[in-house]
Amino acid sequence: MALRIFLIRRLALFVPLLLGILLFTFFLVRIGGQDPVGLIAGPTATTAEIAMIRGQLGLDQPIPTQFWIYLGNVLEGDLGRSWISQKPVLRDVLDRFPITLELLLWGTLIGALVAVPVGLRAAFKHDRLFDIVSRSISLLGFSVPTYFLGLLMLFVFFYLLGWAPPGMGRISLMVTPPPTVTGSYLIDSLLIGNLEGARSALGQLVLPVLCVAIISAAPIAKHTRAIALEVMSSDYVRYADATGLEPSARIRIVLRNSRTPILTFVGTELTGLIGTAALIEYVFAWGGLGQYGLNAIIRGDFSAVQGYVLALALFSLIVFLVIDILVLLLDPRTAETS
Amino acid sequence: MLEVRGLHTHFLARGFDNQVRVARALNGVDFTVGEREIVGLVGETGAGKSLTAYSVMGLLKPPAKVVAGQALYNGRDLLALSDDERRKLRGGEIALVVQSPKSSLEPLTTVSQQLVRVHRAHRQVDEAAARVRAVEMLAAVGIPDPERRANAYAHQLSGGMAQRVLMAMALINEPKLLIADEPTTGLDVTVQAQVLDLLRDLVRARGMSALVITHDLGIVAQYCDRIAVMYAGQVVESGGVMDVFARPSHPYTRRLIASTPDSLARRGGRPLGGAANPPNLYALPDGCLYADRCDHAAAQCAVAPRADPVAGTHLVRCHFSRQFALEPMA
Ligand SMILES: Nc1ncnc2c1ncn2[C@@H]1O[C@H](COP(=O)(O)OP(=O)(O)O)[C@@H](O)[C@H]1O
Ligand SMILES: [Mg+2]
Repeated sequence: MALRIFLIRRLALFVPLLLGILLFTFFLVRIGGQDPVGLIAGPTATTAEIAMIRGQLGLDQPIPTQFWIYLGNVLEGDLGRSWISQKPVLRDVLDRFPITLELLLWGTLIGALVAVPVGLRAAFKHDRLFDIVSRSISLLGFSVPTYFLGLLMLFVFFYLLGWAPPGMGRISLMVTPPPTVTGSYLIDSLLIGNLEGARSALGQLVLPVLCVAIISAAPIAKHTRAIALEVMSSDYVRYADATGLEPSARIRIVLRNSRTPILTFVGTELTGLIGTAALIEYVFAWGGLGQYGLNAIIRGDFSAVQGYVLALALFSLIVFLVIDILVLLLDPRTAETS
Repeated sequence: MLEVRGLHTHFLARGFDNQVRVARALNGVDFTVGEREIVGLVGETGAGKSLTAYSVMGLLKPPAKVVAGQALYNGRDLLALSDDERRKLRGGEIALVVQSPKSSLEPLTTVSQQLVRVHRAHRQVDEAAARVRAVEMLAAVGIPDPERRANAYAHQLSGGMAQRVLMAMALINEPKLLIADEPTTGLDVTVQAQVLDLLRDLVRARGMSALVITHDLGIVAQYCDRIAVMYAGQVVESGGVMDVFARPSHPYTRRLIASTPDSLARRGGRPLGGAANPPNLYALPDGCLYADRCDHAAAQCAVAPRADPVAGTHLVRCHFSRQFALEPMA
């Protein structure tokens, strides 16, 4: 019951949020100073040609009118056309989102699976060797630039050791990609029983996923540790000590009460990483949404940039929605206040 | 039963200049709690009452550290026990009720689960029996509709209810000694009286001993057999409630009594007027710790007074205690 009310309220909130995001990106793109018309028309275009293209794109209208037209189109599912790919932006975004998602979800999942236990253990071994070592390592993870990490991985594991395939896309050039079902080459290959394709896709995944995992692990470990330490210094843990509970019972209390804040943090991290993923995609020629968005921004592809930002916003909203539902199920306090 | 001797607890911290700074929070706490006795530990906020309880229970967290002293429980020094031995006593034989009941209950676990957990940590009983017992305890501490309240979470309880739940948790294993740290702060006056009456009745009915920490002399007068008055981390006066109220022999006790219990309670235990700055724990004087706030300070007070008897078990830490004992209060 509480869950249904919560969902209705939350979905009602989506509408103004998305509208705000649309408005914001629309104007942001337009004050960016880039003029796609010149880029499309090319250096040899005449003034008349430029004016014609401007008219075709609707860019000769006043900006508020442009926004109204854009909004109407978005509501009909038309996000415009990318002039780089010459395809509808919606198509592009839908094609590329799963590709980025595959990278991001695996990376963050692996990062969290390593970092959460490490952070917890560091908290339990506060200021002892494990804590100090794990903190130093995670400091490294914080300070290495994403781009450099990707290149370093390729250099070591492909060039020096030859363990990993070159960073040239999501599947070897020698292997025919499977027909698209989920958009993940790994899963789609497995679906049709193409083991060779699956192996190749997995091989291509390893390094970029590892990069995302490393980049997400550092902050997750740090925050997990801080969250657990805060729980450990709480009145109720001290009181649990005062009542003579076994150490194992004490650990369970700490874990239970760290659970939802850690989950929330991992969710935040996941939404934040999508920007970072763009750089990793670049290095590994991944061709996902991040790379698409970055390209669009650099080359002033208005419709594509707007579609990209909208997709990111929707992704964040959905991630936060899922997290909030989980928190709601795990924590009786929030169930009551919402 | 419980005999605390010369308890010293310090906070050790490193300042920005990398110098170790020591806050001498407890500077020789001495008192005893006899069999079936209720002892009141009083003093203004910051006197070190809670710290005394935590030191005795072995619940200090760095940077706090017991640097000297003993806390003998039936002859065994609680401060020298192994973790395992201490855990068996805590919550089993010696129970604590803390100052902040709501935040001391675990937020994600129901009241009954927490009671069951504490019970089963110390007694060999199965889940179902422990749950029955938990509901009984909730009824015993005067919680209406205990069956339903058993399934409540901490955030669903009022302060008074949370306080009672803590009492149920403290008493579920029938401890021999109960330490209650300001069990009624934050409750309104009628609830306060109910909780204290209940506490006294339970302690008496079960033949327990209790240490009740409070800043309210009225509570001590009404509910306690003995009193220990704390100032700056020392017990400056202790004895039977009758004796101490009849012949208060430390100037600090006299001042506490003179400022009526009501006004003290109204100020929530904040320091008395006059030279009201709380003593600086980083730079305590060598002599009597109360000297700089004392109206009767003299040359002798540069030497630290010992706690000497003025009569029987009535101990006072003041060079002039015998004089004060003879001098009726104005
Ligand atoms: N981390 C700390 N460093 C230095 N002094 C502290 C620290 N924590 C508490 N104290 C001091 O310890 C003293 C005792 O506090 P407490 O036992 O809570 O007093 P009470 O319960 O009597 O009000 C206080 O004067 C307080 O200033
Ligand atoms: Mg206190």
